[in-house]
Amino acid sequence: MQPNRAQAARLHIVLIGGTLLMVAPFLWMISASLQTYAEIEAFPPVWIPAVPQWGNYMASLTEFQTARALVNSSIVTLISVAGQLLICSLSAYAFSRLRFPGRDPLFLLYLATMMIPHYVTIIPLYTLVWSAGLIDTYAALIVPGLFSPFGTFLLRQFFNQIPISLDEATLIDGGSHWQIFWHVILPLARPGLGALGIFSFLGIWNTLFWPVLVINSKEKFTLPLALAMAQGQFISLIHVQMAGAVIACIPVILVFLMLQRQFISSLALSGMKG
Amino acid sequence: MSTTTEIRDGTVPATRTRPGRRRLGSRTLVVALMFLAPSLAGLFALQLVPIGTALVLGVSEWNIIDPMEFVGLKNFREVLTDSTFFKSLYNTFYLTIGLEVLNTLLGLLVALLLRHSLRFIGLYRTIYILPLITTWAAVAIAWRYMYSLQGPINDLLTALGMEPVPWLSRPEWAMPAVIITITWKTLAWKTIILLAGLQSIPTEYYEASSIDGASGSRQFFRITLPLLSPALFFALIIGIINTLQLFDPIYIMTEGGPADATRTLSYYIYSRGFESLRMGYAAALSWVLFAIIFAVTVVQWVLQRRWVFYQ
Repeated sequence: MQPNRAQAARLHIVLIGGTLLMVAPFLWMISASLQTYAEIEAFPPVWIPAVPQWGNYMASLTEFQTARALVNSSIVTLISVAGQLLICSLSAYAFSRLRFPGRDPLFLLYLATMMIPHYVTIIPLYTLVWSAGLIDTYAALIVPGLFSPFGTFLLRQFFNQIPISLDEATLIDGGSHWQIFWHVILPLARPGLGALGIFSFLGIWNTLFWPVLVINSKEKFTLPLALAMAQGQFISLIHVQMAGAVIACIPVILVFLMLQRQFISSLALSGMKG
Repeated sequence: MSTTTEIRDGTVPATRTRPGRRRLGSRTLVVALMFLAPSLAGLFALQLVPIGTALVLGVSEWNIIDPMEFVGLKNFREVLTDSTFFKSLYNTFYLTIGLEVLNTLLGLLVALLLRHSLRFIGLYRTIYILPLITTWAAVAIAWRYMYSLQGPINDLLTALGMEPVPWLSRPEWAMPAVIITITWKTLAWKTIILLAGLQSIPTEYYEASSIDGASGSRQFFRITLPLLSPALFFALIIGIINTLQLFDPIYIMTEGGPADATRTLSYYIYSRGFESLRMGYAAALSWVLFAIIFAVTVVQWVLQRRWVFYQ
């Protein structure tokens, strides 16, 4: 819709007001992360630090082990997302392209599990991880992220939009299903893979509940867990905690700025996971 | 089910049925199993076994250390007399209704603003989305300190001549504070869904009604709202499912307090299971949560006939 000049000016005023509300907490995070201990304790609160204390970031990275948590989060997220994309696309290929007995009931079973809330499965999952002796391991962080009925469903929808004649051409040329999957479907389904990849990246990078349950030792903390635990332990060192919070937000925001368009379509999907 | 090399839904049979069909069919099954194997392992280990275990746990008493003990429906009977459960149920609905009302109204407002072709519109969109993508743990800690009695929010309120508010330290203020924070964090999701809905409304409708002399508010209630209702319905139904399961902001900002004022059902499940180590009771509570989510969704589904308008 095309507003006239006066309307445009009014819209800008409201939108700028909203922008201030949306960024204010981030600005406060950054400001607090650069303050001294005296400034953070001061009343009335200091809005802009006199001298930016970049040392808080060093303290967060080393003493609070945020650097270690950053590495842990990166490893866990990378393996989980890559694994989930591969496993989901393999199964989505079977559901989209192969006719085998029991296919439709099996697919319905996938859909049905999406209706069960996380809380029902997470307690038994914890007890399973516990009895398998996997508490406090990277495997406990990674394995649950590998399988996603939602991802299977989403990719099947994308695969279904790819014309079947392309598969047939490959089959007639003597190609195998593996070749169709790898050389026809995956390249053409890139937008779907991108949407699912971003979606699971956000979910796994930001997740707090599961790491709280299965990780005990500091060396294996992911970033959200490290932040939550630092809050309990170093209650007065708000400035260093805020440095950690800024560090945790930066990777997500960077990836977002690089892939904005795909992000928005992925965020629109993101509610659909039960 | 036919099992030749025909590929999908029987729409385009690549090969007509002929002798040897059976052999080809079993080969497709083998291929399918190869593609499905890792996923089936996941379905089994991460969904089916946990769901089955949750059923068993719901009728058991188990503290992880001692052997599990079958107790029948005792857990569910206990739920009915558990005052903390009812308190957390009340909180869950307080949070869900408060958040959905605020979020939907504001999300609609922002979507109506962002649908215009303005300069910097892309920049506005980017900024409004930032809270949505960032880590709950990080921003909830920031909000917790911003809410403190001597923090920046109260500093602003005092500067505006108002009394400082004991946001997270008083039971009557804690839930509104949590709702404000979650609104800030998740507003963009509603906005994205509603903006997509708005952009699918043909502009000719507005042009035609303008020619007929319809006012802006009349256009909003007669064109925008009815045509947006499917998107509103989707945003509500999914938003409520997600809100009923929210955990991170409660865990970071209030830990259910003060005086249980923000103890939601999902947080109560966590504290029963992992603080008092009553896995059986926590599992029973999680089934109750499932039943609530299911019931709320069904009710909305039935009610949509009353207000959702499909073209």
